[in-house]
Amino acid sequence: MRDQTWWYVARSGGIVAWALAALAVIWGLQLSTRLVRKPAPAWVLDLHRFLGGLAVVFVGVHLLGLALDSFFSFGLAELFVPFAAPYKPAEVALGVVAMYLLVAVEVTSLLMKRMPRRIWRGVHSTSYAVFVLGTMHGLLAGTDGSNVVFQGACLIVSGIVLYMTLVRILAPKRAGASRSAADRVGTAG
Amino acid sequence: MTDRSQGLSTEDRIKRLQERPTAASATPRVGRRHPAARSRALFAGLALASFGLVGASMAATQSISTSTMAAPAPVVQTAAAAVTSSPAPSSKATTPAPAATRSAPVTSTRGS
Repeated sequence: MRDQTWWYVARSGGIVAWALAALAVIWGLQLSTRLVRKPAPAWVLDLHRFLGGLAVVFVGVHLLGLALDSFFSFGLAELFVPFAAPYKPAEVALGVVAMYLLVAVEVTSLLMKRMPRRIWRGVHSTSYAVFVLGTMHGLLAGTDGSNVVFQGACLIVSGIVLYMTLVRILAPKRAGASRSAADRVGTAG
Repeated sequence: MTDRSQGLSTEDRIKRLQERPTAASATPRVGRRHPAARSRALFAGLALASFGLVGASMAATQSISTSTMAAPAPVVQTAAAAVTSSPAPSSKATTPAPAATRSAPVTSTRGS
């Protein structure tokens, strides 16, 4: 069992990273749509930022587990270069691209006050791609893609994200109003 | 604001500005920086707990599947040993057994 410890670390880290990234997206959508009226925008924004940062940490745990696992010899190239992985290169590449986008979203969020709003918004909107690519990576490349519990979680979370995204698109006035409120909170915080 | 301050002397205006509560002093700075401090700690704990729980359940599932698959494995080994007459290949057949027990569930679970 001991020789598979890093394999479990990689799998568990990947699943938790996906869940945290999904929660960060949902929290971000809550910030812009205000579907649930009760939580204060400042609280939602603070947690949205924290969940995104925590997702990056667990992506690091996922990579560490893969690098230290002795079964697959994942080196730096296999971990960071798309299509370089020996196992399911296309499916693994989805995760590599999702990781780069997630890091880009996080870095631009940290530098939000020092960069043009349009660029930040453009990079931040790739969070949807992070979620989609991460979900596909988990379902197609991951060992747990065949797990019914994981499949069910993916289905439910994807449904929530899709619904909230549709609300945001179809109710632009409300979203715009709350977005400006979120922006005010963001600049104040 | 400039109209109101036009009638005041410079000293009065400075005094007014000093007396005016600033945004930083109006609300405590610490409270504004992390409004979800408790929730942050809660989610960090939940993430760590689920990380451990998911990993442990994976290990438990793996050990159960390994123990259930361990029974037919010696039959295959003895069959392989029976086919080969010399003793050297029989020791070779027993050596890959741990690797086979690892790779068999691994290919079934990893290569989904």
